[in-house]
Amino acid sequence: MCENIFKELLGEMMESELAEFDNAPDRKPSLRHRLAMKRIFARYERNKLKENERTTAVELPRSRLNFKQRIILALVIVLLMSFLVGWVVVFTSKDFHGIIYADNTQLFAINTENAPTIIEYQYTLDHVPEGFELIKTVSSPTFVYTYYLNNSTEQTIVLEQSVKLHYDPHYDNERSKFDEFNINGKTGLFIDFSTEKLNSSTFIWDNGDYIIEISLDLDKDSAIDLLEINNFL
Amino acid sequence: MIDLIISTIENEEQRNELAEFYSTHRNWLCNIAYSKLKDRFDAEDAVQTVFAEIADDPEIFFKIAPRNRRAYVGIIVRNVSIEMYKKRNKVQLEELDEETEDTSFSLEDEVFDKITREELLSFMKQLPIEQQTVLLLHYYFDLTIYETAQRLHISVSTVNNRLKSARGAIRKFIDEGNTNYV
Repeated sequence: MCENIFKELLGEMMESELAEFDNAPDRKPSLRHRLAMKRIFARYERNKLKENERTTAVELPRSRLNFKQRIILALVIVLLMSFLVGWVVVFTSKDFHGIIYADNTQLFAINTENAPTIIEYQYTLDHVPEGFELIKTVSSPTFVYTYYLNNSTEQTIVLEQSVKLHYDPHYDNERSKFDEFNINGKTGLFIDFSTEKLNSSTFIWDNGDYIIEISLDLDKDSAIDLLEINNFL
Repeated sequence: MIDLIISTIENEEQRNELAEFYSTHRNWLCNIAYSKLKDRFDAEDAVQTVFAEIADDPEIFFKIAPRNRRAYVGIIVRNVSIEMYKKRNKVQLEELDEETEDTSFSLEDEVFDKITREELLSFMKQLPIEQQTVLLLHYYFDLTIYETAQRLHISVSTVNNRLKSARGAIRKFIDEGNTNYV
């Protein structure tokens, strides 16, 4: 009863403080935020699937299914789920595999063994083209996002570093396709988002420890020069 | 096979629950973050950070009663936003070094012989946000000290210190019968 009084007061305090945001203006989320949230929900889904797999692994012996039966069962479920969510095509390259959906592709790293599970070393661009400056860095234990901007031209450079186990982004490549690049022996994926008015490209590669992704509002040759100057390639 | 299909469907429902929760409260949560950070993109980052943590460790989120989840995430978003603001502005938070073990706390009915309920509520609202947050997570949402520390990315002793300071301030306010605070 006595604890309840305190709890009630805390509840009232919280409700009155949070109530001021009830009628706040509607804010349209940015594209970057929507994509990030998509990744987060995909990560959540994968974590739950892992948890389910762990539970299933314990329960399977009780169901007395042999290995062959389990494979058939898994195939049936994949086909059933594919039927439910729409046609799904699998994407593979040297270091990445992924799932191609109707309007985006989700990538995963292939070689995750012995890779760090947290960011132990944070990469930055030592050299950026003239006019660009570091605007902000957002980091979590598994992800680093570094944003550079040229204020006069509004061109951006975004460097992202992810631990391999948590790398599962969706790429909006409805109008572009993944190409493999091989520059100075370094291989990875390249997407050209350029339009008539704007150069924009993204390079993604596995550097052994992390997945590095760099998105630049530069033409491909300038982008490669920048990667070489920074010893990324 | 039925078990497997059911577990897959259950998982899908829970995934949708998180996405649906986000979709229902996104604007409200972004506004809480915006009120502290005054930057739209930073506010979105704060909300993303909170949901990323829920995605990685959903246990605490789903432990909270569904009717309280909105307020719980609101409090966490507010806390993350304040931390981001401090980091951005290089504000250092002074922490006390003392530790305490006993976190039990209750108010006797006689409390309201000395002060009114409204006076106490008004005083609690004036406590530092950091103290309010640990009080809410520990006493209102029933998280353990460890879970509170984990969720706020602070040490267990910091949680204890904040709880101790908050309880001490409330006790003092009650004992002095509000005379020093009017």
